[in-house]
Amino acid sequence: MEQMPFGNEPDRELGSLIRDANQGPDPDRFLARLNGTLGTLPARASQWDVLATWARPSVVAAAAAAAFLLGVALWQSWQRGATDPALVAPSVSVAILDAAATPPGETQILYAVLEGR
Amino acid sequence: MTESGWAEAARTGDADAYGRLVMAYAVVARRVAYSFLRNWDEAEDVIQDASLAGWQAIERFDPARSFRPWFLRIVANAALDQLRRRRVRDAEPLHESLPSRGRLPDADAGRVVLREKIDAAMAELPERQRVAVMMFDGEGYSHAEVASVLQVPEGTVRSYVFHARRALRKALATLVEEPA
Repeated sequence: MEQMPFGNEPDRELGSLIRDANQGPDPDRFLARLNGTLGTLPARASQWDVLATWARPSVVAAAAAAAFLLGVALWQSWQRGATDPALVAPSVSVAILDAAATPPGETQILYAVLEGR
Repeated sequence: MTESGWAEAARTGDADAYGRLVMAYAVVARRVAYSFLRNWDEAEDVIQDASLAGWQAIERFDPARSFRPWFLRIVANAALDQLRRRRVRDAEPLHESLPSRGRLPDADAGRVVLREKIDAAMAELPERQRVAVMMFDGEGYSHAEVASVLQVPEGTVRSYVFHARRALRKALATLVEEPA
């Protein structure tokens, strides 16, 4: 232990004393126990398994969000359909009947029916 | 088969190869864990935990590198976690009392007293200094390896070793001054 404290080489004498003081009780029992643990290692989770564990909830959340957006889009489309004047305007055939100044005759009704087809 | 061969096999899921690697460094790993914890039972539990954690992480290990510092880093992290749990659990820090000194044959007595003195002095060191001096002087690791395990710069490891050696020498000097 005559070396400099900042020496780059291990202090062998001190090292020997440290090892001697750190032998620990019954290394064979410890190694046997560890060997037992290593003999029954659990199946290892692969990186894909780890990704899958957090990806699954994400996929469910994305599907729920997509379903919600689709529902909103359909509802808005239905609402627009109900109020759109272009869609609720009378058909050509009805317009023919409305345009008549006098009560429609047989010919006009026939035209109206034929226009409606 | 070489260590890198075992490591490559372990990476691909060979539990037996992984077990061989861990068993090769188990004794030194136990000493490293003990250096942190100063409790052999806890140190052994930490090695069990670290070996399982290493198995789950072995896929990320580079077989071109040495297994020993990689595994010891896992052990050191597990030991630090255990220390944190202990500090939360216990208000008072744990200091192991020295074993009682019975009457021993003269030949053994000096060695036992020396061992107890070193052990007590090691217990008084800050844990990172204790681990650094144990790994550097006791196990022959390089400063770089110790730095890799403790995840500190090499200069810090040199400082740890310096302070630890000085404290241990001081403790041993009192033994010389006060013969049993």
